[in-house]
Amino acid sequence: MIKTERLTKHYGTIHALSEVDLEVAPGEILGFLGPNGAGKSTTLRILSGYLPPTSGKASINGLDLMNESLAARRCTGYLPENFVAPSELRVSEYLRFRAALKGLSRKQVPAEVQRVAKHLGLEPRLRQPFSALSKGFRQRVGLADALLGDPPALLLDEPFSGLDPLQREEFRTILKNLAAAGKAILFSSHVLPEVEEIATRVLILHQGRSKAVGTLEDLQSHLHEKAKLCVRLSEAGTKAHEVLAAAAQELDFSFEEQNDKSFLIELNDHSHRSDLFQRLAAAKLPVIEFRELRPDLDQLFRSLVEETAT
Amino acid sequence: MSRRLRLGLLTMFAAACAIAFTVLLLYTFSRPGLRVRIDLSSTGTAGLSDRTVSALNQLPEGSRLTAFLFPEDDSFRWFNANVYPQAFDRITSLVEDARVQSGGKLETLVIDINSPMVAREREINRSQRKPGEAIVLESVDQRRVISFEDLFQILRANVNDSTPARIQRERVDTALGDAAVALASGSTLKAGIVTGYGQASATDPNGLLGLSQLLVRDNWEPIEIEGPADAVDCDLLIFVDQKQPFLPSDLKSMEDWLAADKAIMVALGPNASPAAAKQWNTLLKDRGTGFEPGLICEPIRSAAGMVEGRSDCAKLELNAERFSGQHPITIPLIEDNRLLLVIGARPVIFQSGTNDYTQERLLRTDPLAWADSQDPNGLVFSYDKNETRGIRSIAVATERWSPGKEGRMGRIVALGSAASLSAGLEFNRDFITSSLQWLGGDDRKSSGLIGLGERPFQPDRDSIARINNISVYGIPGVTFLIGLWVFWRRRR
Amino acid sequence: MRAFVALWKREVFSMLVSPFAFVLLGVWFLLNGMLFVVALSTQQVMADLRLLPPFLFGSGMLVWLLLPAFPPLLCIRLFAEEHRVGTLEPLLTAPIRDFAVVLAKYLAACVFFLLFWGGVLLLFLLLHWHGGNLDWARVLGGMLGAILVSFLFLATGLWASSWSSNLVLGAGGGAALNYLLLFVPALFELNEGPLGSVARSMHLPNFLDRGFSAGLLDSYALVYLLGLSALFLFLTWMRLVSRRWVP
Repeated sequence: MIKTERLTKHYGTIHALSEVDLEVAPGEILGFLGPNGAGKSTTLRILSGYLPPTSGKASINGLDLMNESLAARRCTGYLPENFVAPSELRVSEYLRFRAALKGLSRKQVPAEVQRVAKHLGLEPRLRQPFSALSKGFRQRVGLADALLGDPPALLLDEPFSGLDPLQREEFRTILKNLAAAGKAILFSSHVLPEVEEIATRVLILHQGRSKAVGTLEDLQSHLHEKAKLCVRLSEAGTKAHEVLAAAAQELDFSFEEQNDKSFLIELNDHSHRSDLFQRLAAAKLPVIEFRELRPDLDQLFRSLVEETAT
Repeated sequence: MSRRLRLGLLTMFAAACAIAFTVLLLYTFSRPGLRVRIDLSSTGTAGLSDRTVSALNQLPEGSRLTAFLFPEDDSFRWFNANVYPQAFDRITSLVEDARVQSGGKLETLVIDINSPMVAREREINRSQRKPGEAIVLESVDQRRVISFEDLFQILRANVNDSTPARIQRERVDTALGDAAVALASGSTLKAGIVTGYGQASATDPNGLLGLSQLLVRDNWEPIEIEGPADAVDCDLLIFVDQKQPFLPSDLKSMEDWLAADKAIMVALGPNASPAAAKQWNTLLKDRGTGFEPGLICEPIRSAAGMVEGRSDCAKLELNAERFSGQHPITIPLIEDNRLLLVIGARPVIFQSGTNDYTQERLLRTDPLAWADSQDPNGLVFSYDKNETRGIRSIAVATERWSPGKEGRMGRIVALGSAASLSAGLEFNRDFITSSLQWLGGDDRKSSGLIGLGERPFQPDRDSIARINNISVYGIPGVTFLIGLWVFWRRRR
Repeated sequence: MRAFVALWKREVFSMLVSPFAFVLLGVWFLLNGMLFVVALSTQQVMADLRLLPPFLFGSGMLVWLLLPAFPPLLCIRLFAEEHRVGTLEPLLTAPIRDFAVVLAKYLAACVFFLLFWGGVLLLFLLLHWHGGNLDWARVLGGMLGAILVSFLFLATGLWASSWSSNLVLGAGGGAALNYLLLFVPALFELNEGPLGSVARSMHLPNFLDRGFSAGLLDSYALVYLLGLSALFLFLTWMRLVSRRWVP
């Protein structure tokens, strides 16, 4: 649905994007992660048709953004970063204008505005001027704008910024529902837990380059070849220390005794997990926990950024 | 080539193409064939007439029209007179129309007091413009000049009751048309002004200079000659107040001239030589005209009744009733409701001649007029028993019934006043112009004078105050209030 | 077409509810009212009301001073202000062609500017109601010319507005361009040869003074004003298109 191939954007000598590939399928939510200046907004602006790429391809619903820009834009709902509507217009006036701009007929417009307003809880604010709205409601207006005309692809640039926790919760629910309804959603965010919670897949962008893409689990496993294990025994003893020390050389791992009953093991080869478990079982050690310690998205993101820095 | 460069060049190329296309479009639509002017006015006189447009279209390539809009006559500005603003407004719009309608043959230039000094001097020198001249129309080898007073009929300011001067009528369109016709035809008729028999000089400002200039403006080339014997190439002979009879050689030439049916304008006033008048009567006998002795006088109508015995009785104010309604010379004067002032005239004979010629009395007197004869004590300007009252002819025109030799019509205008062609020319300009045109073979039906359509506005003081208040406070104030109301409504 | 109409309507509506537009309108009416009163205080105009249209629409201060300045001020909100505030991005990512954006905004500005002239027409009607015997061919001709000139100045203002998010530059650039269109031909009008000829064929006050205000419609003046307006609209479109074309 949303697709880029070797997408590149240069601003003079600044390389904002370098050969980024991504794909978002219908019903999927792709979280777009990256520090400031990573190229997230640039990617979304290219996909919205606002900016042209220097090279590479971008398409929405199979429509090339350079050659079939108008048709592609018809399939896209776009919420820009720091969304602003004309201050002199009321919310209803603005949404009616945007609905008509998206080609809805005069009969369809009121119903469509009512639909998105209801969906996003904007009904009580429809008569208010945009300038009188709080940040949260402004974002809702922006999202409402993006949803007008029921486009199959949604591009949301920092949709959670400026929202309070309750609003974020609401927004998350809305996005999940939209994905469940078959929309392809690409959103960028700084708020990692939000991404972790709702994104089907994640793309991490740094300095204009795609650092990683995949499901959270894929990333965790891919990035952590050295699996960290937590092993806990029911009773203390020296035997466990001896067994681990004997196996450490053979299975290429290091371990750290946290107390006399639990150990933190760092396997250099992820595949040796089962071998280690078998050794412990063969030594008849009373293992009550054998758990792999997975990094969260925050850790993943940090490690990727640090890796790039080094 | 990089995409950035390629698309940048494409944008610039598209913009350059658009500019080139616009220039081409403007060039194309500035071409004569594609240029149209529509007159929005109800009278259809905002622009040039078809006749003038047609004349402009016949102009040679490279013709040039320069309008000089200088307010040179101070009396036209006294008492806040509007003469110049109205006149300049009319001239500029018609000059612009002339440029458009000339089919690209006419380059126009408007020079006014705000034009840069250098350009002003250059144009004045180049076109040899003299004070009083408003329009100079030039081709490569010819030029036509139209004076301001030729264009506008102006009622002068009255100092006694502080009445400002005002334009009564204007003929800018017709004057431009005439000038264009003359320039397009390229030929100029020659008028011989005979000055060898005691007449005033054609270069004397107090003599016949005015007539000479009038001839130039009316497409004639004036030539000062001693006598008819010198009039070899002339198309018209003009005699103004002859003080001596012709010498035999000139008399012979005159007879030949008449026999050849060539045109003559002869104006003998009361002071002309009786012998010369007698000679003329003989010469013109066949034509049914000639000159009688005496000074035509009319009683002056005043509040006290009819007054006689004053020199003013010899000043003949002629209105349309006194003009012939049948002749091409006077029909335009009647149509335009012109007035003539003939100062000192002798009666002109108006009788039957041979059957080859027709006669028409162009100007006549009141039935109470008489021809004042010289008393031993001089003129008394009052009717006496020796004289008879009745209508007298002041000007008579004759011509052949049908074209004669070489198609000539033998046109003659006999005028009983010499002053009308010299000192009094200003009061009879239209009549003389019309006569010259008829003598030149141009039977123009109209002088082209039209009303200016002035629209004065004389509101009372309250109306002025109301207009001012609504204009400056009312409309802007209401606008600001509506703005505030809208702002307040939208904030709710 | 729907998108075009929607944008046109929104632009007209935004102007009608914008305090800035009303301030502009009020100031325009105020200055025009003052010029009108000045014109009526002259003996010449009072002696002949036919001289009023050329005074106002031809060679007067309205054309030389006010007209070049006001249209660009109205135009700054069309692109420069939208760019500055950030509302341009949602507009340009909507499914509407760039040329439709330019045309809708321009036509909205034209329609709104007719209100400016409506106020001037009111002044003439005021005179008419007070017994002024107006030559309506001259009044309406002059007004038509002035409207067409203002449409040209709106086009130049729109183009200038598309270049910058800086409002001062947007409005100042447009006004400067308009003053150039007025003054450059006036400077060379009396030159001899092709330069003078070209200058005369581009001299806007001449079109107004000697044509429209005299009750004469000149096809060339119409083509010149409409053609140049179309050119600036095209250049505005190019400017907008180049944002997407040129990386």
